[in-house]
Formats: sequence, structure tokens, C-alpha cells
Amino acid sequence: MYLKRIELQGFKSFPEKIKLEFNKGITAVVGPNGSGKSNIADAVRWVLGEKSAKNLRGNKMEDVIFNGTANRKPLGFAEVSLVMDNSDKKLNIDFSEVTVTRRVYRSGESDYIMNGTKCRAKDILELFMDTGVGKEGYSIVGQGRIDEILSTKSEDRRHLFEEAAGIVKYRTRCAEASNKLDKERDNLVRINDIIDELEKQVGPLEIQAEKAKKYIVLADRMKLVKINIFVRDAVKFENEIKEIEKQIQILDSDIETENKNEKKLNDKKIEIKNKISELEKELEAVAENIGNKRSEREQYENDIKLCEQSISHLEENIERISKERESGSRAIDEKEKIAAEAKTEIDAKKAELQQKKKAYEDKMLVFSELSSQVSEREDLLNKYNSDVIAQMNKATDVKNEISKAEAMLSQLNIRKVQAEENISGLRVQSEERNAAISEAAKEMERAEKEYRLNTENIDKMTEQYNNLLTNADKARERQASVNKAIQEKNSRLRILSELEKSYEGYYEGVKAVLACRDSKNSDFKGICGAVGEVINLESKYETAIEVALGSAVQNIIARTEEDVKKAINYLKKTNKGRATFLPMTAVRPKTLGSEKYNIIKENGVIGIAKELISYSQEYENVMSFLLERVIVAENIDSAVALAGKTKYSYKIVTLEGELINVGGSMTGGSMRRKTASVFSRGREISELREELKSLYEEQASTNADVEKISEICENLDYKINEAKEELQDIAIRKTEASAKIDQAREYAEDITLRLNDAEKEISELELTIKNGIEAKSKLELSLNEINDEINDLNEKLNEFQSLIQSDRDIREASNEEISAMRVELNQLENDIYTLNSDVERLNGEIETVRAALTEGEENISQLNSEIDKKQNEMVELRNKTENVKLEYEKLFDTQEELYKNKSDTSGSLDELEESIKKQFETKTALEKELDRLELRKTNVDEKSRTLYDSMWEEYEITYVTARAAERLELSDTELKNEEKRLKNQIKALGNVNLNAVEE
Amino acid sequence: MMEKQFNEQFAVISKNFSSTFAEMFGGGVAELKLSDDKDILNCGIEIAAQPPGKALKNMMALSGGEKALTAIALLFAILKMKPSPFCILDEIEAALDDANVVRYAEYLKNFTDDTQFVVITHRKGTMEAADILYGVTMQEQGISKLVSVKFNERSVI
Repeated sequence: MYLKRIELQGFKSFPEKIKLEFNKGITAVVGPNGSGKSNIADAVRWVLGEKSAKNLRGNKMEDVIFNGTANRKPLGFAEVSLVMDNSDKKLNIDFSEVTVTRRVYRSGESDYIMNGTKCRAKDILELFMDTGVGKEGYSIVGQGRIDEILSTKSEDRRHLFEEAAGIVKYRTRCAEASNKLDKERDNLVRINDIIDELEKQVGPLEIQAEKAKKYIVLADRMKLVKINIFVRDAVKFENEIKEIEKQIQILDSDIETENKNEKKLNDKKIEIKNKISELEKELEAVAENIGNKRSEREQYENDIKLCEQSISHLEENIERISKERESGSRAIDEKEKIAAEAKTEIDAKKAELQQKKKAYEDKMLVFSELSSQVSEREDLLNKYNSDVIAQMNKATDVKNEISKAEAMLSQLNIRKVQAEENISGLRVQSEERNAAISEAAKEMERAEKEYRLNTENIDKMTEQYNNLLTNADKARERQASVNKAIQEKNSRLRILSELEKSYEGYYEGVKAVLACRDSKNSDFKGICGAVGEVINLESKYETAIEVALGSAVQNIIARTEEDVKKAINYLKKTNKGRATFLPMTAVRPKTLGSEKYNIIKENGVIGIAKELISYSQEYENVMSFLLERVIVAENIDSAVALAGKTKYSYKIVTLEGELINVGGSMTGGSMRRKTASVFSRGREISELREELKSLYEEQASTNADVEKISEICENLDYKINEAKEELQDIAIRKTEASAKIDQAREYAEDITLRLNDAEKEISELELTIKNGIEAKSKLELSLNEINDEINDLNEKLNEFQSLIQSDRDIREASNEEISAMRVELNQLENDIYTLNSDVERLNGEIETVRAALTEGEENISQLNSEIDKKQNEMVELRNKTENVKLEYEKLFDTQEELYKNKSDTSGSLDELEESIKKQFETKTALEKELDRLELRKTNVDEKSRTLYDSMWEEYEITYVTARAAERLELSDTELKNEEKRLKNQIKALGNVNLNAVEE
Repeated sequence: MMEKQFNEQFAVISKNFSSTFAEMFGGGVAELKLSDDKDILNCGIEIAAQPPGKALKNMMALSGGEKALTAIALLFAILKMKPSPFCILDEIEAALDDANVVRYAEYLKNFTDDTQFVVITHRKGTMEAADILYGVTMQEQGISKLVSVKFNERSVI
């Protein structure tokens, strides 16, 4: 199966019928954008049952019909046919060629046609199902649709695969079956609903039953009344119908007679019409005949005119020919005369020619003799001429040689001058070179001296540099030791300061209070500090004072008792231990009075403890309280002595720490120092600071030293390097100088060599010049000889040439004479020839004219006979014209008669038509009446049927049964009133459920 | 029965697709998968494609040309299994480069024994493969005209 052909007509952009033939293989459709290629694909898709106008790139199905352009009207329908070859029976149909056509009209009507018979879209779908062809299949891939195979949802893709797998057939059937199932299911649901509804209505309804009973009674009465009305109405209607039918019968017979009349009239009318048409036909024939005759007559008249014209033409011809003949015979006479004259002239010319020829021959003989003489002499002259030329050639050769020798000499001289110049140049150069050598030697000497000096200088500087380096090392060592000391002292200082800051060595309570003071607690403003803190003293008194103070070192000095109270509270609250306070407002000083001076004067006494220490003046009272009555002695011996003298009334301490208390008790022994005492710490810190200060100074000075030395070192190093560079430069200069000397010497030698060469060349050149001059003089001598010879020969030549010239002149003159004679002869011969040919030509002309004359005669006779013929013809034609005219007139008469006849018949036809019209009117009136009656009958019929139907519907009663029912003796109006009353009563009962009685 | 038939045919298409894909791309791997093995008559069909030298991609991540080429490979895979008597292809190769157009045209020729092709095209490579050329022109506005050239006949002349 394959696609043979597509035929499009009116589809989209193809208004005309177009056939596309396809073969197996690939067919490509190409063209510019918008030319309608895709419409071909759309057409195929459309035929295969595409329902969506959108897929065909339109809005509605009618858009596929050619919609017109500016120059074309829209078409009414579109049709596309696919012709397929089905010889392999792939399509399940018993044809070897299948044509599928779809056609759509603008009205929206659409047909599918398969092999010429209409069919449904479904048939076409089924035909192609599972072949892969079809609007849903994969055989038509639209523009831009290829991607859709991939991009649509994966479920949608199935369709493609199902088509390919060949299961669409089953799937369609499956879908149909499931559709049916759904419908049945719906029906079931509906039936169940109805059953439910009915069940709801079941219930006891006695009231309704009561009502119903009453209703039944009323209804029965109503029925009776209605039946009575019905029977009376029925009888009334029947009578009415009968009457109407009678009338209709009468009318029918009337119409019958009218119809008969009408037919008769119509027959008559047809007869008349036939007659008229016959007459018309006859008239037509006559008119045609008349027309024919007229054209015939015109034809004849034209022919006659034509004949007349040709006769006049022929006559003109005859006249022309006879004129020609006349002039021809005249020309013959003239020409014969000219020919005779020419003949006499020819004879005269011939005699003259004979004479002239003889004279010419004589002259030719003389001329040939003269010519031979001249040629002999010319040979001789030529010989002399060649001699002269040979001599002249020789002279030129010699001259050439002389000029060559001269050129050579001048060349040699120039070379000599050049060589001399060369020598002087070389000499100057040699001198220059020598000067350069001596200069270079001097330079060399200078460089060597400088080199020596520089080397010495460098040695000196190097030594100095080494010394400096050792110095620098020493300075650095010192710097390092200072730095180390600074570091050590600093670390010690740092440790001590930290100890001091944290009040190491004080009791816990004291520490806490002091720490609070340092943290600037406002409650501790009045705390001045521990006793140990506020005292400064020399180190030698340290032990003594410490012992003297004892635990009082840890006492805290405060301004007032209030402050003390706050501090104690704080200690209590925070549970930080205990402390002793010395409020300044409370402590009273102890006085020593005048005894003091006595004691100080004692041997071995150093002084009052209070005066050995230093403190701030505000602590005067406190210090006095603590140390006014303590005496410091040099050693234990002096202390004991003093104690004895003062009767043990003072506390005495020695420098080593022994203590004699008031009353004589003594304390002493070795002192173990756990930590640095409070005093020694403060002192050590200040000492360390002092030391550090001096060490920093030293460090600064050593740093400066080191820097200075390294600077000097650097300077020296730079200088040494400079000197070395200079030394190198000098060495380079030295080598340069020596190279210069060598070069200059070489050059000088070269110059001497070249000098020698040049001198040798000069001597050679001089020799050659001398030889050249000699050769030149010889050549000049021989040239003179040759020139003499040439002069001789030229003289001879001149003589001879004049001789020849005279001979030549004579010859030339005779030659001219001869040629003149020859020209004359030729002229004569020519004349004779021309005359002869003239005569001949004239004879020929005469002959042709004569022939023309005879021909003219013949022509004239021919023309005359033709004229006769034409005249005969004319006579005949005139006769014919006459005949035609007669016939024509006769026909005209017949026509007239026929016209009259026709108008008579037409008059009778008009009359007849008038009567037909009248008859028709009466008939229409009758028919109208009949229609009216029949309408009434149907109306009555309808009314009675309605009555019957309503009776049947309401009471299932027929007319026959009704008649059998009881008759009421009431008038019609009474019956009607009764009915109305009953109706109102029933209405008053309202809704009545008749089933209620049974239920 | 329907299930069995679909299953068998699907397996063939899947195999063909793998080979046509590799031929069209000159390498690479691609396969078709049923999204639900238990409900093969209603489930969707997944396509996984891996052009040579690229990671395995979902169809959405392919470039336009690759997409077209993959779709063409799928079309050929189906045609290979069940040749449709004729096939109308409207510019399906528009997105391909010249080399791929030639490959596509050559491939089309392989199918001409079983399938007749009508291709609408602008590409010279495809035209070269055609036996008959129809030119559609629009000399008069809105009206298409046909011009035809048969290649085989012309070469005989």
C-alpha cells in the first residue's frame, strides 16, 4: 500500500484542482515560507478524520475552505482525495485502489466518501486503524510537533506506542463496552430512586379516604352530567357535520363543471397558440429568405462594381503599354544613328594607330644603343669608387689606432698621479701611527703607576676594616650583657610589684581591707593603709624596726573610728578574717620628753626608732604611738647597758634583732625569713627601679656605639669596593693601551710594505708611457701617406663623373620621348576598344527594346480579351440582380400578409384569455368556499374528537356506552349550571387521594 | 492478550530506540521505560536519553536539537518495528545541524522499501535524498502553485 496521489480542490491556499503524484521513495515538498507547503500535510490529516480545526491551524472547520483573496472570490466547498494503491491488500477492503475523499461545504455540511460511496468518519478511522496511518498515529508529523512526542506527559505518549503496538482496535472496543456498562449502571440507579420515592408515600390516610368518598359521590354525579352534555354535544356535532358535507357536495359538483369549462377554454387557447407559433415560424422563414435575398443582391452589386473597377484597371494598363511601345521605337531609331557614327570614327582611329606604331619602333632602336654605352662607363666609375673607399678605410684604421694610443697614455698618466698621491698619503699615515704608539706607551706607564697606588690603598683600608670588626664584636657583647641584666631586673621587679599589689605577707583580714581600699570602694575612703606600707627606711634598720613593731606592722591606719567600723563590718559580712586598726582620731602619741637627749648621747645607741624611719607627716601621731618609746642600739651589749641605765623603762632593739622589752624581758636568736618582709620589698622595688634606669642608659649608649661602628664599617667596605672597581678599570685601561700599541705597530709595517709597492708601480708606469709615445708618432706618419693617395684618386673620379652625367642626360631625354609615344598609342587603342563596345551595347539595347515591343503587343491583346470577359460577366450579374429584386419584392408581400394574419389571431387569443381569467376567478371563489367549509368540518370534527378523547381519558367511556347511560331531563343551560356547581364543590374538597380508601 | 502484545511490541521498540538513538547521535545511550510495571496498559512511558559525553538526562534537560534528534530516533524505532505505509514529515529536521540532516536523510532512505515518505523541508540535505521534488510557490497572493522535478528521470536524460 502506498500513496499514489493527493488531489486538492478549494483546500486552504489551493483554489484550483491540484494533483500531487507520488512514487515509492522520498518525495520532498519545498518552497519559500508561507507558500502553503504545510497545507498539503494538513490536507492529508484532514482526510484521515481530523476533527480539531486548531490542529489544521484554523479557528473553525470552515477555515479550511479557500477563503478568497483580493482578486479571487471565496469558494463554497473544499475537497481533498487520497488515492492509495492497495494491491497488497494491507487495507482491509476488496479494492486494489482506494480513494478516500472528504468534502466540506461552507454551510458546515461535511461528507466522507470512500471509493465513490458516502460513508461515516468512523469507517475511515477503522479502515486505517493499526496501519500506523491515521490522525493520531506516527505517520503524519506536523510542523513543530516532533518535539511534542517527547515533551507531552508520559501518559499521553502512550497513544503513539499503542498505535505502533497495534492494540488501538482493542482499546477502542474496550472503551465502547465500558461506556455501555456505565450507561446501564446509571439506569439501575434511577430505577432504585423511583422505588424509594414510591415507598415513602405509603401511610394511613383516613381523612383523605373520607374526603375521597365524598368526592366519589360528587364525581359520579359529575360524570353523569358530563356524559349527558357529551351525548347532546356529540349529536349536535354530528348534525352539523352532515349539513356541511351536503354543502361541500354541491360545491364539488360546481367546481367540476367549472373545471370542465376551464379545460375547454385551455384547449382552445392551445390551438390558437399553436396557430400563432406556426405563423411566427413561417414569418421567420420569410424574413430569413428576405435577408438572404438582400445579401444576395448586395453580393451581386458588389461583384458588378468589382468588375467595373478591374475593367478600368485593364484599360489603364493597355494605355500604359502602348505609350511604352511608342517611346521604344523612337529609342531604336536614335540608337541606330549613334552606332553608325561610331563605326566611321573607329576606322579613322585605326589608320592613325598604324602610323604612330612605326615611328615608335624607330625611336626604340636608337635608345638601346645609347643605353649600352652608358652602362659601360658606369662600370668603370664604380671600380674607381671602390678604390677610393678602400684607401679611406685604411686611413680610418690608422686614425683609430692613434686615438687608442692617446687614450692609453692619458690613462697611464692618471694612474701615475694616483700612485704618487697614494705614497704621500701613506707617509702621513705612517707618521700618525708612530705618534699613536708613543702616546699609548705613555698611557700604559700612567696606568701602571695608578694601579700600584690603588693596591696599596686597598691593603691599608682592609686592615682598618678588620680592626673595626673586632671592636664591633666587643660592643655587641657588652650590649648583650646589658640587655640580659635589664631582662632579669625587669622580671624581678615585675614579681615584686605583683606581690606588693596583692599584699603578700599580710594577714588575710588585712589583705581584704587593703584590696577593698584599692578597688576604690567608697566605704573604704578613710583607710590610709597598713603600717608596713607607709614606712620607709634604710636597710640596716630593717630588722630592728620589724622586731620593734612586731605584729603592729600589720595594723591598718584609718582616719576615724567610723571608717574602722565600716571595715570591720565588711570583714564580718564577707567572713574574711580579722584585722587591727589604728584610727588616727583615737590614737594618742607617746612622748619621750627631754630624756631623749640623754639616751641618744649614750654609748652604742643609734637613736629613737621613730626618728630612724621616714613617713608622711599626717601619720605623726600613729608613729609616735608605735615607736616613740623604742630605742635602737648597736648591739646586744650596748642594749643591755642602756636597759640597765634606763631601768628597763624603754623597749630597746638591736640592729641584729634582739629585743629588750619594758620590764627587762629579752627576746633574741636567729630570724627565719619566710618571705621578703614588707619593708624590704618596698625598698627592693625602688632599688630595682634605680638600677634599671641606669641600665637603660647604658643600653642606649652601647646601642649608639654599635651603630656608629657598623656605620664606619659599612663606609669602609664601600670605599674598598670602590677602590677595587677603580683598580679593575685601570687594569682594563692598561690592556687597552698595550693592544693599541700592538695594533699601531702592525699597521705601520703594513704601510711600509704598501709604500714600496707604490714606488715600484710608478717606475713601471713611466716606462710604458715612453713606449706609447714612440708608437704614436710612427702611426701618424703612415696616415699622412694614405691621405695623399686618396686625394689623387678623388681628382680622377670627378673628371669621369662629369662625362657620364652628359651621356645620362641624353639617354633620359630619348626615354621620355619614347614613353610619350607609348602613351599616345595606348590612348588610340583604348578609344577603338571603347567605340567597339559602344556599338555592341547599342545593338543589344535595340534588340531588347524590340522584344519589349512585341511583348507589349501581346499583353494588349490579352488585356483586351480579359476586358471582354469581364463585361460579359457584368451583364450576367445585372440580370441576376434583377431576378433577385423581383423575388425579394414577392417575399415582402407574403410577409406583409403573414403579419396581418398573425395580428388577427393574437386578437382572438386576447379575448380567449380574458374569458379564461373570468372563469378562473369564479373557480377560485368556489374553491375558497370549499376550503372554508372543509376547515369548519375539520374544526367540528376536531372538537367532537377532543370531546370523545376527554371523555375517554376522564371516564373511559365511549359514545355508545354514553348513550346507554341514564338520561337527565334537563335543558342544556341547566346541565351546564349543574356542571359548574359540581366543579366548585370538588374544588372545595381540595387535594383528594383516591387511593386512600383502599390504603 | 492485549497486555502480552503490548509488552512484546514495547520491548522491540525499546530495543530499536536504543540502537537508532546511538546511530543518530553517533554514540550515547537511551532507553524507554514503563513507569509502572504492574499496570502496563495505563501507565506512562518514560524516555531516558544520554547523548555521547553527557550525563543521563531527563527529556526536559536536552537542547532543542537534541530533543528533535531523540524524537526522530524514536520515530525511526517505531517505523523499524512497524513500517507505516506512508509517512508525512513536516519540517521535523528543522532544528538539526547540517551533519545530522545528512544522517537523517540517509536514514530515511533505508526505510523507503517499506514506507513511502513525503517530507516538507527547507534543508538541502533532505532535498538531495528525495526522488521527486515538488516546489510550492505563491506567485499570486494567497494562491499556491505547484512545480515538480523528478530526480531519477532527470539523471536518465
